[in-house]
Amino acid sequence: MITWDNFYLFAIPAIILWGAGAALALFHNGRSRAAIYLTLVGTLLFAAYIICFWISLQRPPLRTMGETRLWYSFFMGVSGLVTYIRWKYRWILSFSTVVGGVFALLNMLKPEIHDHTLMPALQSFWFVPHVTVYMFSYSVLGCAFILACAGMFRHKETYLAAADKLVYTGVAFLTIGMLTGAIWAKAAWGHYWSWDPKETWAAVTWAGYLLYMHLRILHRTAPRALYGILIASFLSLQICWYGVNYMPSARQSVHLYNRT
Amino acid sequence: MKLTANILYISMLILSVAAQCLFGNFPAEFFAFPMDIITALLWIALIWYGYRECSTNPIIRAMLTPSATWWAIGWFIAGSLVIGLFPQLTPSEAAAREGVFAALGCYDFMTSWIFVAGLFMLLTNLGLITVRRGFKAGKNRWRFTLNHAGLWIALFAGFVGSASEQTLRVQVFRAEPNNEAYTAQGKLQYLDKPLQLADFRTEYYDNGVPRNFFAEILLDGKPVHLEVNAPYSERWGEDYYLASYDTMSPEPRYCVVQIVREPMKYIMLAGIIMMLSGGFLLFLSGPGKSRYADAAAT
Repeated sequence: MITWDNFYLFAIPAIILWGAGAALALFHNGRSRAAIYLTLVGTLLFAAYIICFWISLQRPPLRTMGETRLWYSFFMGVSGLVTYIRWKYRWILSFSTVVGGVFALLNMLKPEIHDHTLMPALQSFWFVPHVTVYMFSYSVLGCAFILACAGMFRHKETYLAAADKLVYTGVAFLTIGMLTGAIWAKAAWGHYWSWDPKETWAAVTWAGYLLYMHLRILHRTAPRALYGILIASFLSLQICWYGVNYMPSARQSVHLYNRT
Repeated sequence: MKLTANILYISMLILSVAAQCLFGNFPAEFFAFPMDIITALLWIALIWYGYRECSTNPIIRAMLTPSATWWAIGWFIAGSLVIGLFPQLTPSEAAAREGVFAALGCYDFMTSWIFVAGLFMLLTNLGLITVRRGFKAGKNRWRFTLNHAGLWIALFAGFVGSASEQTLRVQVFRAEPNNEAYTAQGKLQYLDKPLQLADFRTEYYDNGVPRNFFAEILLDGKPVHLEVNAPYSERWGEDYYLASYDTMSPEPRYCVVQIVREPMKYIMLAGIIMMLSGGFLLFLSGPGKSRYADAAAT
């Protein structure tokens, strides 16, 4: 029986493995096989915890903020690894380890996943695809954000080329997440879209990335402006994910179930 | 053409601000049936005619430029930010507010002239580029068409369809049938079919938190099963939702049913499905080669 109390047994070794992989990648020219395997084992360890915890909870661990952080850490490992394998950026694993590790650490210090209950509106076929697709897109767009921050300091054309691919993947999943959410909202509350605070920030985030994509396709825009759009869109994504809970408008929101 | 697009959008923005300050919010009920259908047909016909027959017209050419697209997306982002940052109030509460932001409709921005004008420009730009690209063979044609036409349909159905949309709430009692429903503004409406509660069940977790609830109601004598996430569809665009119940009594004496009338429900769903398919294609084919990115890389 895996519970939240066992989380550190999986998370700490996973972070150590990710860290070791990141260090090997950082000091290795080209692609390091050892770094890939270490990161992969760390990510699988995280996956094992999620699966066991899911079985133990008897519901998908996707409801509370802590549970979504769990998925984010996991997908950060996956996205960092895929980006490293595909584009061989030596530093990307360091960043994905730091981001994934911080979210795992937050879960250890501020556990919010004790509750086994799932409110009626969340008991839907759309629950798992909607949240996991979103968490995956957040992590992929997180990698694009890291590239944008690096590009702000020292621009390389390859950063933008890699960001393009990450943004296309991230936006594809973001779109699917948003639309499955709309279909679910219609079944649960009667409206596909109601400009709820969370939906509004999702629209801002989505349109921000669309602006980046259209500027990349159609115009010779200054790289710093493009990096700026990626950074601003990612900040909007953070507001959509959890920042909106701290805004006065959250009182009107129907997305209050993830505040515990 | 870039200059024409900039002038066009800036003029539209100034006009919409002036209209907002002079007339207050846009009268959304203008698009109530049959105006929604007439508007849809007219708009599509004008986009089609404009592209096919007036392709040299400077306004049509300006609306097809990349600048027009950035303006449209930027306007949409700015409008969404206003909705996200300002508390959105009921029309009467928003009308009671004073100051510059209130005059610009920031407290009920979805129906402000500024937001409506932005949506109009976005839909026109989206419609024109969809017609231009959708009928040309080439790489990513289907991805482009599904994403852009799907977005046009979904946005149009949400924008124009909101005038015909109606949300009612009715208390459904065990003791007797009831046909008195209330709108969100508290206005009474009589339903043509009365509702009565026949049975109500609640499932609980071990810690006493409700897991799910189910209602068996009689809709004009016809048995109907309702539960959360599973509405009952009575007719085209009219759905019944189990919204709440009497939590004060061990055996609930009533439940609350929400009735949503949304004639454009399936049109919006069609747009969403098209965009979902476009989203999958976006993932599968990834970014195309940007001429500027390629030029810069070499």
